[in-house]
Amino acid sequence: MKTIGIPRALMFHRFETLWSTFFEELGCKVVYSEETTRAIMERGDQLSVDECCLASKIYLGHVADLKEKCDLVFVPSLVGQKRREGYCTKFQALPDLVRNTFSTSMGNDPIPLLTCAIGNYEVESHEEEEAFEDLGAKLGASRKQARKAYASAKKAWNRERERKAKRFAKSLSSAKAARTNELNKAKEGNKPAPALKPIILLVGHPYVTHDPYIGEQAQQMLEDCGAQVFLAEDFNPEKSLKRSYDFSQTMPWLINRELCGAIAELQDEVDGIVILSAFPCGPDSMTNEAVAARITSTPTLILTVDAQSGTAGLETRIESFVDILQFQSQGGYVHA
Amino acid sequence: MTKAFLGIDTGSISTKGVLIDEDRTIIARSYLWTEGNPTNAARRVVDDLKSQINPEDVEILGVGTTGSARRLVGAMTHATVIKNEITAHAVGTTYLHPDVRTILEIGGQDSKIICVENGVATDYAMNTLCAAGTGSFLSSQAHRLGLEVEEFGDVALTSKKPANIAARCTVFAESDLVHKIQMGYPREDIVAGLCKAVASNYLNNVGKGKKIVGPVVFQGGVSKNAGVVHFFEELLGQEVMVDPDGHLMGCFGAALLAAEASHTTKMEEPFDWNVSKIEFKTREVECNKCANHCEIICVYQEGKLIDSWGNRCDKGEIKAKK
Repeated sequence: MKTIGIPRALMFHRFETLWSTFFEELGCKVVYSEETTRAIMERGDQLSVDECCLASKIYLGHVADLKEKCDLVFVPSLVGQKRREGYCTKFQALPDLVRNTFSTSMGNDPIPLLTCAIGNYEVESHEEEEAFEDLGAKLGASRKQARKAYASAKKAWNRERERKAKRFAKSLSSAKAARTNELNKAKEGNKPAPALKPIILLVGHPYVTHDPYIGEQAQQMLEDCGAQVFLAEDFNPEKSLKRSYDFSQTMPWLINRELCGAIAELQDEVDGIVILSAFPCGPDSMTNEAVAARITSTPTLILTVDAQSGTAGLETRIESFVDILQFQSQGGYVHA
Repeated sequence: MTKAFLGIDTGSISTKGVLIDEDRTIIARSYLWTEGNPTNAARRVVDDLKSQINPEDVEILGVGTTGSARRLVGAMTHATVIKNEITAHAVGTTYLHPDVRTILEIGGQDSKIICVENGVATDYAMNTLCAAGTGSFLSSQAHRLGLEVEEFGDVALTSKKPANIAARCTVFAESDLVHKIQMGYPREDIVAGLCKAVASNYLNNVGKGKKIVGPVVFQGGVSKNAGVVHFFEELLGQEVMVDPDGHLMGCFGAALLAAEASHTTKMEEPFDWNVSKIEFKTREVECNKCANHCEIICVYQEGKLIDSWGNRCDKGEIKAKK
């Protein structure tokens, strides 16, 4: 029985269930790297070239963390299923990037990798299922066994996505109902409206929003200011993907499509939108400004996190944004 | 006995303070250099304000702090309101100019734009990290030209043909400036060129994508530079107002918020005018409870811990003993 290590970074935050179920169905043991800490980020920063985005620097730190904790580190190359629904080039190049970083020529010890290319719209034979069959073969499983493991992994993953989307819809509508209720009560009692607990749509790649060192901190800051935070990635992905084609016919990235689509679907349902990017993200640098220009009625804040800056700037920006929403709902600053 | 509220704005370069009475009128004002020591600067501001009034006759009902050292100075002064500088500036400016629609601000090390509708901020932007085109850039260039930064604006206004200076980046601007000096450009044209570059750089970066609607108010230290004001008006094609108290809008806003909060938030203990005599020390502690190694700042008053911050999780919480 082999132990497979999965770095707790990048697309782990999207595919955790799919990947871990697949390996476990094949009788492997799955271990994860530790949650991101400053030590992991700094290690990744040392291993990376400057041009890499913060999220992929962190990824290398996670790979290093798995050293000697497993037999193989799982580093897939993710391409995408369709021409206009692909992944950032970085995800495609990941096995090469990792292999060349952890090599003696770079002064690092090699790490045994388990890789595969998932989805390639240019080569028709490279369907996701086939990629997992190949992956199974590398672990000594038969095609049939691998297909079965893939089927149950995909089922578990789909179920989880549906559950998330349902939960999102339910909690958004109950947050809005609670708001209406509160306002009505205040009106009946002739009392001033209570301070607004703004409903915020937090938009970011899952590996940014779910990373404890970067995104979760921004979410915490928003909540500390009294905001109710909803993650755009948890919104129904089919709906948002479909909607994204109204925004752009040619945008090449799946995740950015889902995020833009979610903004389009939800912009009138929330009080504010916060877009969070890890510097320097190629896809986001193209889409953030374009998306912000299309949001007309809802206040929007674009935040960028990188390895150098502390959290002081982030705090000021988030605080002032929530202030704007709260004071606007009150209709002014000073009542005297 | 006059009831009053204190506002302190501690920025990277300068520290500002005001006292306002119950009618929100400024009764004392102070403006001095932070000199890299915010606690000391805040003390000097309090002393300066104290010298302008009769402390026996003034009762402080609330203290508001803002600026990048708001938390530290807030802990020292037992502030009732600690507010970010965007909100504080918007509050202060909209109080004095209720019809303002756009607030331009260029300070020592950062700059911002605040868009206002119906007396409340609706949008803002801050410069990103780089200090190009801010006050510290202007003063270093003034120094290079053998001028005081205070005379800079008036010299700029004498120019008939501002030189073209690339001020997008401090490094480029400096080499461009040296080049133009050596080429023999008149000094006033170079000075005017710099002022123009500051204004256009601001509009292209901080003001990017923002609709600048009048009335426009320009504040922060650089608003004292008549040259930059002139070029803002030229580039925007509209009047740009500069308030004589423009540099005090942050602390004024903080004082207004403290006054507003005084209905619900009372001072825990009476304000101590002798804050400059009290010893404050800060100490950095590295939390070793997890791999994040958070740097926690602890503030001590007379050896007693009064506040701490910088921890990312509860493990690193260091609580003041009550």
